[in-house]
Amino acid sequence: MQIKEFLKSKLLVRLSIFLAVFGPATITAMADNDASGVATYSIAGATLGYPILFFLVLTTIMLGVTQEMGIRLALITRKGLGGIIREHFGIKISLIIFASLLIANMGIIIVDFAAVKTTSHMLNIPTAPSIIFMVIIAALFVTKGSYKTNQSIFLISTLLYLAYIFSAIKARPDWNLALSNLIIPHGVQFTPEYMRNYIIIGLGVLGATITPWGQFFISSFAYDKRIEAAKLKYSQFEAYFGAFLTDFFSFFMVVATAATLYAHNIILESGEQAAIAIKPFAGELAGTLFAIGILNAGFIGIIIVSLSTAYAFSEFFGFTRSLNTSFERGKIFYSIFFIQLVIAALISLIPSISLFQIVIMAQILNAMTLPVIFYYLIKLTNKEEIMGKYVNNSFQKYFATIGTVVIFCASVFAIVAVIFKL
Amino acid sequence: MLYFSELDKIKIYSNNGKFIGILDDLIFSVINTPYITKLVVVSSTSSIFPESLNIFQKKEKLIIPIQNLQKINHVKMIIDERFSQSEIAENELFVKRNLLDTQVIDIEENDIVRVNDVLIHNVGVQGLAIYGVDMGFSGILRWLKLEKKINKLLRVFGLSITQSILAWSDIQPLELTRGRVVVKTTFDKLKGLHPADVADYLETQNFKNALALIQGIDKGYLAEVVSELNPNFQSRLLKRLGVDKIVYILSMMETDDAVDVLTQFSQKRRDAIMEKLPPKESAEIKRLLKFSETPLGEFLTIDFLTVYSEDTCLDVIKKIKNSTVDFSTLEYVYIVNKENQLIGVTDLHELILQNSDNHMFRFMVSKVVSATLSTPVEVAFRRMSKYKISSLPVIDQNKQILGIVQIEDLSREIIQRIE
Repeated sequence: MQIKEFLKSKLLVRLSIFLAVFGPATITAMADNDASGVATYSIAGATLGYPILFFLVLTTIMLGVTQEMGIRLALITRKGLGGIIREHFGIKISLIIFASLLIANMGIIIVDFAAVKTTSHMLNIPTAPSIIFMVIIAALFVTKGSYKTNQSIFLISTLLYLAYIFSAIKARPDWNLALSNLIIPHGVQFTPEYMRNYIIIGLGVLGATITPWGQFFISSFAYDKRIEAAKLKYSQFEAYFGAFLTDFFSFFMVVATAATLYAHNIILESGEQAAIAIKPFAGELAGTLFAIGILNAGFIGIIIVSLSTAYAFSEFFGFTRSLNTSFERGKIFYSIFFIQLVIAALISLIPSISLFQIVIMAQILNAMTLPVIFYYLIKLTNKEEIMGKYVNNSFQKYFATIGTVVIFCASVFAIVAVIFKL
Repeated sequence: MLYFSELDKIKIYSNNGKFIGILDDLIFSVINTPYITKLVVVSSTSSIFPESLNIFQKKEKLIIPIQNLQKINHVKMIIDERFSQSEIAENELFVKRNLLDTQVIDIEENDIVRVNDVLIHNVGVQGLAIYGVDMGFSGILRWLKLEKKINKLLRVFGLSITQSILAWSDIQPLELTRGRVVVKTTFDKLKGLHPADVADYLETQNFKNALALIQGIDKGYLAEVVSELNPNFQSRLLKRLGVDKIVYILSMMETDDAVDVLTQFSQKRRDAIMEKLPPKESAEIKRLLKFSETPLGEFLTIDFLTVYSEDTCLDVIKKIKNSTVDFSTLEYVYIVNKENQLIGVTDLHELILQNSDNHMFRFMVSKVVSATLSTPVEVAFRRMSKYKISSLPVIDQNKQILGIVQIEDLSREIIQRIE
């Protein structure tokens, strides 16, 4: 009896420690499923069917491994990723990495604005005013918003993901096929055309799941939350848990779209078509639910991604980095934030820019910058003089290195394939 | 003035024209003046092992003492052909590895800025020393060799980049060895200054800063600083402090200064403070407060000692040791009769010269220069300068001493009147 109680109390202690450090990875994971993420997974499911789930598993492991590296690095050095790179590799490398981050982030923000555009089409609201409205709201949110409102908006956004879970179940997919595809891709004809799409869209899925900004965000967040190095174990567990959580939702998005759109050969080009994926659950309300959900996910993406650029800039180049400082003091910080918003908003207003057309390209751009960031992340976490006894173990080292090389090769293939229209 | 960004990767030759390698880093001394002591050179063609001149040129790091440096400019460095080698010593750090790119922590502002460049200057025969660090945008541009171009471009629009340079004297060297650049707080810089100078500095600051600054000052020291502030600033500052802190400051202050401070408070607040003061002090202050309306009253202090005319020198010296510990200063001993009436005075010099069993009436000056509460300040001041005395006893109609006024308090008042 006593032993049981002891175990129970021990379990409670563990659980409470876990909840206290619960945060960076999970929040990053949830934010990973922004509008661009939802669109990417929908396209992946609609175009490729269940076999992309196999790739999703590999991506999840890679996400867990790299996010764990990021958290570990931040906790041991008590610095953000940008700061560590700057201190170890100097200004020039910092500039290169920041430039790639900026480009990749611009892509994502444009996609998230394109999601606003899609929403406005679906709900019959004029496009330009709603995008301008979005810029203003985002600006107000960042200058006046509080952590609490931030969190509740996060929670609302998860509602859309829940819709996919119910839809996936109600659409009566072939669960055998779906689950077995987690282990080995099968059940379709692997034509060269399919393989080409698999690599390109797969790279898009990778870019949607593992993001450069996520790497910076997670380390700043872990640092800001002042998690003690002693609680590293819990944070590491949380990193893998967060990775699982992201792709838990992604899994259902893929299944829902594969069971509805792929099964009926619907090519995903518009919000209305994307909404079909949640029709089994939402019925006639599918269109509205999808529109509101993707608007919300877009809003989160716009804010978090542009903030992550501004944070990274401050860390790399040393300017006031805080949302608490007045505008005058944080001028550069806010300027970077606003300029991104305005440029992305303007680009998204170009008529030919539409969510489902550009999203895969933006995600590939994202994925292409990953090898650069991972190279330094792996190099730093391999160094004993920085990490002490917390250096990478051989699984982390080799998995991350091989993954990085694969991403690099796939990126090269994607560029060649797109340029020469293979 | 040189920038490290201009020296990094600079080519190094020996004075007979042989290529040695490229500059990788500099080593500097952390103690006192940050002299550059050694060069870190990456040589690809080792001059020490000629056999390594094969295709597998091994990169080698040489640490060369600065004494071998003969010439330096923006393109190359020339060192002695028979240069010596050495190692990094204790109390030495690398410019690039330990200083460049590190975060600068400013305790007050909590900004995150980084060391973008390091400024090095010539200090005569001693050679080179670090002048400070560049935290500005120019530092970044300089590494990209864009500083001049961007500046030129900005000038077209009438703009310029603000320089942001932190002098070495503003950095805490101890923190550097822990891998951080910590800026000395303003208070660190004020440390060791005379309270009167600190008071002057506070008066130049805006009120909010001054208030923030005094939070960090030790209470005893703060009392001295506060009593040196001009009355206007002083009362503004004290009004913002809590009663407990004021009570502490007042009890550390000289009584007349404490009275000055108290007269600036409202009756209600004054009572609240008086209640918390130790009984002895509050009684003295109450007594002085009564006099504060009279011309000399506000300068009155009770730091004086009275003895009887029959006391011996030894008695008096014992008394000085026992009862004047809290006095800010003591120059004269006043002699009274059994009715406590002032009958004589002696200065400490005279007292010490006497035999220890000598009685006070034997050598005291019996014609005492004194004043009353109604004596105007100018008159009292003239009297003191005429008889060359530094404090003047103030007596009542019964010739009993109420207190003394000191020349420094009166002269300050007179200077203020002139100004």
